[in-house]
Amino acid sequence: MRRTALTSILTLLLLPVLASVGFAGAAGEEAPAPATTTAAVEMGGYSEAPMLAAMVASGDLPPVEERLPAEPLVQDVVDRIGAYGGTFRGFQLGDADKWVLYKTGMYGGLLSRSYRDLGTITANGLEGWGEGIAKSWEWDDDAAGLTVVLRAGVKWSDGAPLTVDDVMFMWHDVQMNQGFQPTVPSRYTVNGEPMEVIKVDDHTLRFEFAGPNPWFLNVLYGATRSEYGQLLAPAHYFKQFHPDYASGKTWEDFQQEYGPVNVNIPTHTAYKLVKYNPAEEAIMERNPYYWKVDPAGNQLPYIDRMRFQMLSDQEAAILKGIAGEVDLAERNFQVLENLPMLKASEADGNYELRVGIGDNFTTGNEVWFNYDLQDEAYAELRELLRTATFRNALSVALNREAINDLLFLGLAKEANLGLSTASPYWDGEMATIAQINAEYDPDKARRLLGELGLKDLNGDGLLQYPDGGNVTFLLGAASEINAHVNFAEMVVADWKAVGIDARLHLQTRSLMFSGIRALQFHAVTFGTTDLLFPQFRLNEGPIMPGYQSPSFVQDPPPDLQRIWDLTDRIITTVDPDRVRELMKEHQRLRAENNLGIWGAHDVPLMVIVHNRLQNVPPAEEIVIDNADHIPLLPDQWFIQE
Amino acid sequence: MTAYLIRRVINFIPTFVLMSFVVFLILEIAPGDPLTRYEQALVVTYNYSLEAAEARTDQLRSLYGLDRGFVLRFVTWLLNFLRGEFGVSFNNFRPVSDLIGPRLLYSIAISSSALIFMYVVGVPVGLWTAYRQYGVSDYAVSVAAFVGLSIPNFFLALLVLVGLLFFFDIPPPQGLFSPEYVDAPWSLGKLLDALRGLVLPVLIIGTEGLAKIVRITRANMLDGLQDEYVRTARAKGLAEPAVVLKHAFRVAVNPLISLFGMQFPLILSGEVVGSIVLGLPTLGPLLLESLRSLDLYVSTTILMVLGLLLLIGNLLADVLLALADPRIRFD
Repeated sequence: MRRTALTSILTLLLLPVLASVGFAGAAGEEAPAPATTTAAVEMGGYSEAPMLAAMVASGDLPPVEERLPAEPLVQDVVDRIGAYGGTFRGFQLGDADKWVLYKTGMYGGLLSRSYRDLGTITANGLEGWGEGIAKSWEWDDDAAGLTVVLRAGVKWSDGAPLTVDDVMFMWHDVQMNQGFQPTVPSRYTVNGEPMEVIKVDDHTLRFEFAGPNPWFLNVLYGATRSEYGQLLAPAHYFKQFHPDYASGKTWEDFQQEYGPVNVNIPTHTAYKLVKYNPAEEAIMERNPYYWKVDPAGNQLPYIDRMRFQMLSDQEAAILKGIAGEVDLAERNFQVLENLPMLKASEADGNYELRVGIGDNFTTGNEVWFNYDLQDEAYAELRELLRTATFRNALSVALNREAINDLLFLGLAKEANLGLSTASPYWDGEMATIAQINAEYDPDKARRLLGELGLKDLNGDGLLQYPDGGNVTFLLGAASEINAHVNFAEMVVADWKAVGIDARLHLQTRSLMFSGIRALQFHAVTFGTTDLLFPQFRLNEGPIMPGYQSPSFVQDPPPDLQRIWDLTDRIITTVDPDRVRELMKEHQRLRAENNLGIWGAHDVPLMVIVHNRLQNVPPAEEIVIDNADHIPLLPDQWFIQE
Repeated sequence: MTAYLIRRVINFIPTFVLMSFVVFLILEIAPGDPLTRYEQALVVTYNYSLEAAEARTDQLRSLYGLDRGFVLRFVTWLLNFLRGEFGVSFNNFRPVSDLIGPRLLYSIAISSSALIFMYVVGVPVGLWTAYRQYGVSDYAVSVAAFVGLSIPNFFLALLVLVGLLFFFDIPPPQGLFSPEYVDAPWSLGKLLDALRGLVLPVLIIGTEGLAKIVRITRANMLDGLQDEYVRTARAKGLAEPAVVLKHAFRVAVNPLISLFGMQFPLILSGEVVGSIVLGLPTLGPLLLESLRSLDLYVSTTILMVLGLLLLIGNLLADVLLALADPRIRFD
């Protein structure tokens, strides 16, 4: 009786709340309108979202035919033609994670790279890229020149035309401007010479290099995406803040506008940021001028808006996923110990857990060494770190099976190489290379360490240098990335077991990288990405042993120098078979000399897809590259309740 | 009274300058540099070579004056701060005020609600338990107050979150509003939603202070109730409520006001720590994040804002005390 009374009082109190919830729901969500399913492209007519049609009717927007380019890009749909409407629900982990907005809604540039393209890009990087704002491109025979033709009639989200002048502005007035940056980034240089960008006509660009540059399409793909904005940004907007064009403006003003979460910048991407509140949420809405249509002639994207709620940590994100309050989650979601719980809650949360392959930096597990330690107190350690035998001993001291079982639920593959088995460079020989120095053999580790003159002089179970000091060794890990810390803890325990006085050194990520930059660290654990195409990232990952690039390592050991030479050849060789050979040589050298140690590769990636979200590639085709949702083609996702 | 107020306000100024110096100094001696993270982002996210990233970062350092000397930077920063220019966040190069604005309101709302909750609940309960000393309610409240005093609020927050999830199947709230209200314009529904969202943080952050107020009110009242002027009042035949509230309580009120000044910093730091655990969009989580990423001007501004709130709270306590007790303002 009392309980009933209490319930009625509560209901009465909550009535206004309930009423307004119902009202907000009714006002916020219009029912998805079916999109045209006839072959409208051939008929020359295009369809658009109801929210845009309403704006056209009221005269706020020109008709869809005028907004689309003459030849819009026809985007294949994953499953079927979708329906317009709805709000995508995502999450963002604080201000530092703003990239998730770009990796889900504000993407796309001159080229594209869908999950299908990832399997077709050739070993030399020359072919297999998807079209974007660029309609076509042609390489010179020596791969030292590239002609790119832009789609005519593409517009920025404010309706201003997008032309080659936008690229010319970003190249000449920003990237090459001493006021903006004193050194041209090396991705735009070949043999030390900056590339030349030439305007052929309003829609045609020429890129010329001082030598073969076959991976330039990858650079162009990245540099024309909106989060980078390095080679493609709305010149008409940025000229208002550029010191050379606007009087009274400074580079500080320019930098403020150039920052990554500016709601005022016109965009060429599927969605435009309309609200960014780092304490609450970020909201993106469809770009009425987006230049893609589906095969039936419906202007994309299907979904009206995307909302990303700010969450405090990955655990909160997992809880939201389980509650069915997220439509798709992959980035910042890889806390593998939750996999069983996520699987068990599929029905309750009305989602599907799809386990994909690819790479993700939070599940990465690599040990980076310092080959040029700048610390007088550790002169003996410096020599050890530069010796392959020492690093090999540390590698075979690792119990990779235990690491896989405990950290990756046994779902990864134990290996001493990060390269994914889905990579075009993977074959039987690479599989053998991946097992070099990957066996668990503590006795061999002790023997190798003994050969280096390290002995247990005082019987405490730890090895000493001939002068009596312990082989003290700090393994750093970024304290805010749990997966890295867990991995580092296991590594330290295994090293201790063979007599190395290894210690876990937890630091925030920023501090750890300050140490790495100053060459004042011993070893660190970190994640690696671009395990499919190592060329996508030249500073780390499978290519560069732990950030140790020529620009700041003064005195490289000979094997590191050989890695650098091989890398230079890999990225400038045009013959795909030769590239494959060079990649094998490179990876073999890394594994044999343990320039970096890996614990496992092919760590599974958890992707949850809510059952109302349609047109997401099936589990067996999901390939995630660099925590990027773009290959999953978000602009053709749609919502069906 | 005016002279007293002027004296207090003048004292405020050197305290403020000293505080800002300490805030700036602490972040100065912390290792690392605010643009290290940006430099790393250039390399990792933008694929810059290390040389180019370093050159670009150095350029930004001189653009934002980070390469100048300590004293010059401090003075520039303090003068800018007084003008309301708090600098930029090196995370996305937007003004710090953009980041802090929306959060400050929540911090103030939660802190002041917690203060009000402490006093509105604590004083009557303290009065009652003193009046009914050694009664059942007195023992029950005393035990509860000691427990409340002993549990740090971040731990209490965790206990409450776990308890809600396990016993009532209620998932931890994320933020103050339910999802449907976050973006809605202000309405009665949204206000009620906000009040509902405030309950949990206010209870958690206010518990320790509440316990303290109950204990102090009780102790002072017990002293007062045994004093001779109370016996006199009763002997005069005054009604019991007049004896307790007008005579005994009037004297017991002073320590409660001084406590206001002392409780304020505890509430603010409690709000910072509690909000991190509860995932609330207040200044606390932003402070933690900015300290982690060495985002210099965000950290300094938050510390300064918290410090200012503290100074204002203390000033307010002094004024209230002077109003309540003539001996102080004529001192």
